[in-house]
Amino acid sequence: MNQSTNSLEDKLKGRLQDYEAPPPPGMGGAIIDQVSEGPGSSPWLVSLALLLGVLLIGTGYYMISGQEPELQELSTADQTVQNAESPQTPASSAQTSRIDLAEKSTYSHAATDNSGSVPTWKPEGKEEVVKNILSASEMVVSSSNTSDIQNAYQPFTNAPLDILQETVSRISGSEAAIIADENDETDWGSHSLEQLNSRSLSDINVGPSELSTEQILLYTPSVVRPSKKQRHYHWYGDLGVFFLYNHLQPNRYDNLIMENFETSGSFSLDRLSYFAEFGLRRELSRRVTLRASAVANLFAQKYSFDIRDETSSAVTPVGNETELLTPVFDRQTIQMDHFLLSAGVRLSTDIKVFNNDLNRLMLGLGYHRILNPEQTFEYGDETHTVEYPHQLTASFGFRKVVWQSDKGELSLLPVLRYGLVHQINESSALTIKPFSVGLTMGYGLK
Amino acid sequence: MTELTILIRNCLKGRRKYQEELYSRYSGLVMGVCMRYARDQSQAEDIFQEAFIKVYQNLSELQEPNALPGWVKKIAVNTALNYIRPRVDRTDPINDQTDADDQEYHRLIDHLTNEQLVSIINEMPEGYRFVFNMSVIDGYNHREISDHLGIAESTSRSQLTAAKKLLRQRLKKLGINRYESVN
Repeated sequence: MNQSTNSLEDKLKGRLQDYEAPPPPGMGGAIIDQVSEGPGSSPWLVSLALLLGVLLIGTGYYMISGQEPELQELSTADQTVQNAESPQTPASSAQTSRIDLAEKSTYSHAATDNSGSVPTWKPEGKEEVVKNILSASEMVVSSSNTSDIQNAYQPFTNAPLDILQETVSRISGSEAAIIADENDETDWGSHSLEQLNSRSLSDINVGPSELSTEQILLYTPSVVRPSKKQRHYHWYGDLGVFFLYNHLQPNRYDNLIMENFETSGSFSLDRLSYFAEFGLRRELSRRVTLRASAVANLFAQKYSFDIRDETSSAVTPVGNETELLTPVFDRQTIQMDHFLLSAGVRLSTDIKVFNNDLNRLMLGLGYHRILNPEQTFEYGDETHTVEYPHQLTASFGFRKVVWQSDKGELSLLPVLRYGLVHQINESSALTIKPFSVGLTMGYGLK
Repeated sequence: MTELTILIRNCLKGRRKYQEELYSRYSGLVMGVCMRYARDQSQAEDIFQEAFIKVYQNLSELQEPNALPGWVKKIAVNTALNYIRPRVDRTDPINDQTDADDQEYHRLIDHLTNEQLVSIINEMPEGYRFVFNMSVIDGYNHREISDHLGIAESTSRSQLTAAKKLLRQRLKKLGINRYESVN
């Protein structure tokens, strides 16, 4: 009986020990996706998302704060128009206000002042006048003779406001709004450009005597088109600090298994790395500035990982295959902790994508290579290399001018840089591809 | 380098194609284990998912590539044990009325599909089911069963005896029903 009982159980075992059931449909992909994300990579992605968020918020702040003066201009002008149209406005005041001139900008009447020396402005001549003002402005730029300048803008003295506004609008960007009193002895360099803009824009609504064509001509020509002097190369330098994130890529073709990569926290000071750039910039157009520079980086390298062979030299013979096997690998932890110095070149461009000269989009492409001797680590009887290949990096950021003087300008640049090069050397055990987010401060000569 | 070695190595390197291959090879086996231990299909699927994630995450712990099938199965069993944490009650006395001879049970089993056999096992109380599966199907000894389930070895033995008797009762009943339905 006992024998027959055993045989019944054996029969059941034979039927069911390798029993297979159809797995839930669609679960395989989900499981692999979940595993591929890995517990180690998720925090990295979260950090990246967080950093990008901070970058975007900061950029948004820059954009908004940089555009405020122009918004002020519009709202103030609207308010002034309303005041001018108000019945409470005294007629005598309206006659001397720029809004009054603007109301007469139908050009159906001759706008004359007490001297009667002002030419008649006719609607069909508006385009021509604007062109003449722009032309004169270029002449002013190329001339250093005061009498020439006076002669250049003399014909446009007391031009109606809408002509001046049209001229200003042609000179796109906030540069056009930088209208200053030529007699003003204020140290403009001590003000931020926002202050300068706000002040100048408010001047528009003060009155005709304070907004002469002379003033526009004196200060706007430089933005109509870069002068020869402005087209020259100018030195600039940037210094930055950033958090460095390494994308470690084990060699897929060797017999080493690397696992348990560990690095410092996302915003750990251990990640702080440094950046310096020195080069020349040239304004190609009103919107595009090209920069060519030499760059140097000091990369903080602090991480660890476990390494072992694919198969152990101390394999325990497998008995019952259903036994849960205990690993007996010769596992070793490798700790990397040092700084790497790299040098290279970079080409970048500042593009004025917003209607504001203070904020520019920066796109760059750089190449650099590590100057330190080859990184290695010992495992087993061999020396293995860590490949930090010739790096090609793409960078993206927003340059904000925070201060400027006659001689130069100071800018802040939140920047994101990403290594483009993947594994290129199959003889190396590990390849590193960097990614960084940081803040750069730069000063450029004018 | 064996086929399994290549498979494991590439899975460890994170290559999706090989991870899918691993899944394709062993998902049926893992689901089979889950179906034997789980109360129902839904619970089996939960265990299945958890088990396979463990397989991928612990693949680097596997020292001998050729042991992969057994290792995967073992993980599935352990996952089921941890997931369900069966409650093993006192063994109720089972009225042994299994007077059919062994050949009759053999014939009954031959007429049943694997799914029907699994269904019969699933109908057993949780404690019986786990001890029976672990002892008869998956080859654990009573010491291991007692360790895993936190019960005395004697309890494990009595549970197994009771499970076997219950199984025979179910088989016999199923066989009678079957013959009656055929007739």
